[in-house]
Amino acid sequence: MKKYNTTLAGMICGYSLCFAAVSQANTDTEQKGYAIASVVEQRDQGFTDSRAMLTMELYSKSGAKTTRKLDISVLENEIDGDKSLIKFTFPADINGTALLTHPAKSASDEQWLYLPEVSRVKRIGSRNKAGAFVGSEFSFEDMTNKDLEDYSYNYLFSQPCELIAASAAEFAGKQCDVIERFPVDKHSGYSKQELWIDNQDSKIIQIKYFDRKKSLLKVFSASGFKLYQDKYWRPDLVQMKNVQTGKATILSYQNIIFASGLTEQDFHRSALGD
Amino acid sequence: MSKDTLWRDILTSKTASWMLFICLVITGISIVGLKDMGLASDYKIFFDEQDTDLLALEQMDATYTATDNVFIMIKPKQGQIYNIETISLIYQLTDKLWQIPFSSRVDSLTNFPFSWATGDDIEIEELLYEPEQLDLARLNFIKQAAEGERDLLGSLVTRDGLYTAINVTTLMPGDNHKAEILAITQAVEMYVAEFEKVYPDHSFYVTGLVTMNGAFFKAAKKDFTTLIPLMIVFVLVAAGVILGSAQAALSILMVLVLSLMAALGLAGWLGINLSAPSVSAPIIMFTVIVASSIHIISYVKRQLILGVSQFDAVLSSYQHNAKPIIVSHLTTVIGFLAMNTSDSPPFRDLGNIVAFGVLFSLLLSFTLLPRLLLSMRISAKQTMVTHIFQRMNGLAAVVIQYRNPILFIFLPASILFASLSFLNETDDDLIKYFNESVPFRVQAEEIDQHFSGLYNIGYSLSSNKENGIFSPSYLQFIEQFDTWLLQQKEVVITDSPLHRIKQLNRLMHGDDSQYYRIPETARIAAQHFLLYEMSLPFGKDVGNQVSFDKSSLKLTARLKNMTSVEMLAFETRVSAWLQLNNVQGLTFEHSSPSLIFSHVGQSNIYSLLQGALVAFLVISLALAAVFRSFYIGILTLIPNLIPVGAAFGFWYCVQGHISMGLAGVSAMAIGIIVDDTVHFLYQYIEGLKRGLTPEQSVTVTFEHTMSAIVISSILLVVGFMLLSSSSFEKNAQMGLLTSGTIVLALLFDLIVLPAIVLKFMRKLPHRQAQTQLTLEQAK
Repeated sequence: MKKYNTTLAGMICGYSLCFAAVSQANTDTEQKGYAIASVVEQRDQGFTDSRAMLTMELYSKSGAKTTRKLDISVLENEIDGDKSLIKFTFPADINGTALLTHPAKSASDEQWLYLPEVSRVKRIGSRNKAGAFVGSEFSFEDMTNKDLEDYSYNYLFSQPCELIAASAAEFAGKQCDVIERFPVDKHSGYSKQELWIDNQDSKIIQIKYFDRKKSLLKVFSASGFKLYQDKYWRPDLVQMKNVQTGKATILSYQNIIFASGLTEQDFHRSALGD
Repeated sequence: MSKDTLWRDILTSKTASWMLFICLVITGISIVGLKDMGLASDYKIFFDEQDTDLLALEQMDATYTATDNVFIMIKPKQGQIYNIETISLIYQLTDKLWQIPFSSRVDSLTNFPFSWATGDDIEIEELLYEPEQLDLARLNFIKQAAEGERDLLGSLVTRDGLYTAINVTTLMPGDNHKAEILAITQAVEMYVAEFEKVYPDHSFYVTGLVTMNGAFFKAAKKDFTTLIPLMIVFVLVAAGVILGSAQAALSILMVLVLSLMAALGLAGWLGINLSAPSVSAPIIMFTVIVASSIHIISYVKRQLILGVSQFDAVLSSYQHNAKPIIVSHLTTVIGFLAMNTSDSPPFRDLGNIVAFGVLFSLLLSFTLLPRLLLSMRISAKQTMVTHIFQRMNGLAAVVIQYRNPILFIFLPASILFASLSFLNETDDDLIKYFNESVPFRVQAEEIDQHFSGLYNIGYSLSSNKENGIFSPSYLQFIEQFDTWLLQQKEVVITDSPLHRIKQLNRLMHGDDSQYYRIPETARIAAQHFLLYEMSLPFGKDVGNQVSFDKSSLKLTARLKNMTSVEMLAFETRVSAWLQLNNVQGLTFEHSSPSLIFSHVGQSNIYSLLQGALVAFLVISLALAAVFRSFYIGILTLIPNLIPVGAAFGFWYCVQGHISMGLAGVSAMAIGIIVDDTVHFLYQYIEGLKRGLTPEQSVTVTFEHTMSAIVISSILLVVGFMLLSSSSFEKNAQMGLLTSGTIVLALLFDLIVLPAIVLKFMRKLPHRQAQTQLTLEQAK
């Protein structure tokens, strides 16, 4: 079962639990790591659909900034994974360009791209999800992580969340579990990720991404969490900082709406041009 | 106070002991600076931090992903690369290379994102996504794809299919540049060695900027660890043989080692790092210092042979040699300080370190050396060498007899020879910084025959508008520029997103090849590019070719292996074309490591030659002041300027190319060769002062001083010849040319200088004669 996880889409959509999965965790810490990840996923199930507008600001090493704007809609799908529709609204050149993704459990995802300038829908077959998403520090992989079972887990330690500088004020007094997870797919750009999870509300506050040679590559941090539908915590600001290149991307969310009644129809390729 | 007691005081009084103590303390403090001394490992040390060329390159590296790389070429020993073994080798090595420290991107044939379209279906996939895919059908697919792919041909595979390459882009944090470079090069060496073992039917070659940096470091380290011990042995043996005394040799060595360590330590205090060019400083320093100590000690030795007591021998040696030694040390210092005119820091460091060393040697030669000489027993036995040099008188007679033919034949002939020096071409070739014993040079040259390795220029073309690179008029200009570049004979291939943009247009039109062209509107191009950006694998973002805000793109012209002169000519031609064909609103910048090397190489040649000129003038003025005669100052130019010129004339006959290291030779050599002139003139004038005829004075000077001049010159020649075994070609050539200059200068000092003084300096300059007279009267 696929899900959107932890970051861009994850923050606004949610998680669906994979009941069928059998944990392969062996040791105590592996089991504990897996358990924590499962709780994060459970907390987010049942949201049906969500929408948000978001502003993506890309920062170069020298601090220069460039901006993109996009709308993201997600439809919960417990069988194959959540369907997503990303529509770019800014800059003007790409306004109206839309990307529809239907995850597939056994085959590669199906993707369609709508190009408004020629009013055509193109089906794209690509297994590459590890590259940079529209030049940002987020990769497609970061946004479209598939499945609880796509990683193996390990619990590391617990510490006060306020030790993470970016979250000190917001998470004063909270305790964080730190787990690491290792991608099963060898085409992943990462060797492992370390997650800081607030153990009260299962908010993912920070993720450290390690590249294939196990060096720290990027640090993700989330802040400004708000509660939606009395159940789903979402940050309104997330940052991905590349520690190797010095570049960063900041996403800020506006108008997060849950359960607005989106249907399969809205996520069909024929709806792309609307 | 008489001269005798003066020198006795200088050498033995309590004040002298204090002086010795202070000098040793200063030396000691300087030596502590060695803790800060390191070997540099970055080609950027060849540039000043504020160098406009370097800033331009760094600007470009900031706009686009930096170009630090390791480039590995692979050749199956038999046949083409399109076979199961080779392709699976590439796949595995690609995978491994991701493990290289600081690697940020690996580009190879197998992970190339290949795209094709059927109707509205677009497929984008790496040429070999899973190793299990590899069968004959896939091989065929890869072969066909590669042979038709502009971004692969010439970049990662050759047209004939015999060679392929993997490029690793690295991103070093720069906290400890040397450690980072070494970590990368060691990892690459390890993987290559591992694959050589598993795939014995394949050859591997490695080049790239990181590899070059590593090679600079290794060359410097090798020189440092082999040449310096060699030098120490040489000094010990030479001094021991010539002086017939191991203790004398040891005393010289002690002064040497202290001067060397103090100079390096002082450089350490000043934050100077040794690098490939400046690592020759210790060798040059050794050579120069030993040559001047020889003057003191050989005089002592000669006195001892004559039966003088050791104390008196040392005393009279100082009395006799002090002034010329001080003067010759100072002229040497001036010559090396003149290297400060260089535009390239390592050459300035070289000059300064040697100058420090010579100054320390001057200090120690008048404090420590006499103490050592007085406290040890030096044998008074004749040695073979001292014996030979007693025959100098014969040569004096010949020179005196044939002085006119010498002046009228030898001199014009030398000038003619020197004029050949102007035919030398200034030239600098990056790869040829290393000699053929360095694997980097051999492999880089091999790679350059099949791919374009180190030589390229990156053009950053800015539309000055966010997302401006998609506008059709901008892209048409790029296409025009690209087409023109490809017609230039220097260009092997070009690299830019233009091909990608055109290919995306084709892809969007069902792979119909007539749509391989610039899209009609900026919006289409931008939307196509968005698709492309979303489908790239890890690490393969477009940041190496497209600026972050998509206002500019980088077009890289990959060039044939060429000299700095050709490179600069190409650069000028391209800039002229860009000016002529510019579209309004566009601005360009260009740079590349090989280009800025061409610049620094070229400008350095001129700046060092200017420095040499300044050194000539300053040294001549200094000599005029020392001898209190402007006339003598001018005369000294003849035996010093002409040998340098003649050496460069000789170089024209041998090699014909002057690179940036060689230009420094003139400044450096003048400071050294002028020493012999100083010693000769000083003794000659002393002779005249004592009332000898010019002919008698020449004979006496030959007898007393020429042996030391010849010995020290030979030592210098051998020392600089040792340098020519350096694996850093610049140092080797510098050593060769300098030793040639010294040989010629010695010839001049032996033959032409006596003839000149006999012809043009038969009398003491007037004012000096007067002073001398009063001094004599006072006595």
